[in-house]
Amino acid sequence: MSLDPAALSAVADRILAKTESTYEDFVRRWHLRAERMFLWLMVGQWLFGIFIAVTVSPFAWEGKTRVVSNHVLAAVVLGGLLSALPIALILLRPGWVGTRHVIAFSQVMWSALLIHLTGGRIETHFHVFGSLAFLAFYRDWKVLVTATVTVAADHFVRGLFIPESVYGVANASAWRFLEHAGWVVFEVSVLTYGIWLSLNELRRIAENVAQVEAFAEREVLAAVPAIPVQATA
Amino acid sequence: MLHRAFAAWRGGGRRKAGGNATLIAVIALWALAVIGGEVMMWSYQLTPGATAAAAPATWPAGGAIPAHRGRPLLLMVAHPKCACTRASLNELRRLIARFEALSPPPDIYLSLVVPEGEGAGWIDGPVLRNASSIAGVRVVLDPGGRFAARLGATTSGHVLVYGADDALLFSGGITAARAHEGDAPGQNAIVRALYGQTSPIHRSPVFGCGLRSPAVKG
Repeated sequence: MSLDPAALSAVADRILAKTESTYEDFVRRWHLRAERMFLWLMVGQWLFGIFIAVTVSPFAWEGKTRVVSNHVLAAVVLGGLLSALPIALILLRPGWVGTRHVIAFSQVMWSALLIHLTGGRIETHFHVFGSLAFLAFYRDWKVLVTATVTVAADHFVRGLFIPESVYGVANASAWRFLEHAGWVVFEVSVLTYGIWLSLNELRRIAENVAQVEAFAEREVLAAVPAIPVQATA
Repeated sequence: MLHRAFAAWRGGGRRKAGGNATLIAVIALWALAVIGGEVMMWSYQLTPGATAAAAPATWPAGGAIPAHRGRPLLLMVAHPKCACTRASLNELRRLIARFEALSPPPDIYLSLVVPEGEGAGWIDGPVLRNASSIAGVRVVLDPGGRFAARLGATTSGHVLVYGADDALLFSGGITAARAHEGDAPGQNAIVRALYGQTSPIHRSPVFGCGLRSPAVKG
């Protein structure tokens, strides 16, 4: 029994196309899964920010006069603003490339807000590294680049005007932001390598799925008569 | 604008070429608003309290705290209900740890301002609780804020340091921003002054709640 080269070529093309579409479907599903997680994270961070502001510094005082503190306003208004657009995009434009970059920017700005709300506690700076790990769920290194650039820009600008707020010391060098950004790049490098491995794995799974589906179709079975499974069909 | 943005969001497969451009414009406006919010937040934090009057060159007699000849003295003036003062107290705690090698060590006081018409119960709160957990800090009350006024203090968290010879060494705040913990020029100035080293500054801005109620206009 002879093989038809044209039919085999067509099958190979179909498998490649199926691999690509399956892979893109997998990646898109990962994006949607990450966005569902960020939907809850954005809501949770907002509530957490308000909780911190209300419990730590609910009021500002001038003698006997008290007013709602700036921290509470920042948590409600700025925190609400930070979460609002990511939530709107997740609900209305899921999977769009802009959605995940807006989330990356918002997530880093959330770190800055939480550091502010906790009175500059050095421990809150770890929120940046946690956020990068969350963003890695997208399996898209470009999202991590957006986050890294935002961190570096935020540190550079604040380092110029109020170095104590980012470095914990008053007389930090103007270049110290590079040290902080360097640690972020360190984590991002590891995460990017993990993303690359993960995407390769995903592509291999997509190939397997495409092959299994192609060989299960009648036309394929007809085009490859030498395959033993044909004899039993 | 909003209508177009919403249509762009909901456009799905019927999206027009201009849809993403509108959406990107909305995102840019949002980013500007977020950055503006952060700038306003930091602007508030970096705005010091009302300018303090000059502190007495020597420790004023007749207050709740006796003269202290032979020992340095550090006094923080605080509003008992000021949440921002938590940061000042936490920095005071760290500052005290840097006094270990000082001989003699300074006497350290926290003076809580009680406004006119309020009783001693006014001081109950997080500031007193926090101060009570700092070893070596003695708490005194300042009815009506009269002693704070004599010292020139207008803002919670104001620290005054007098040397063993009774001379004023430092007057100002020990945080770099309102309610913000971390290193600050005032802390280093105090340490240098108490260890007998020259310091480039002897004053620093104070970030915190006002000690006095705002004057009624009209």
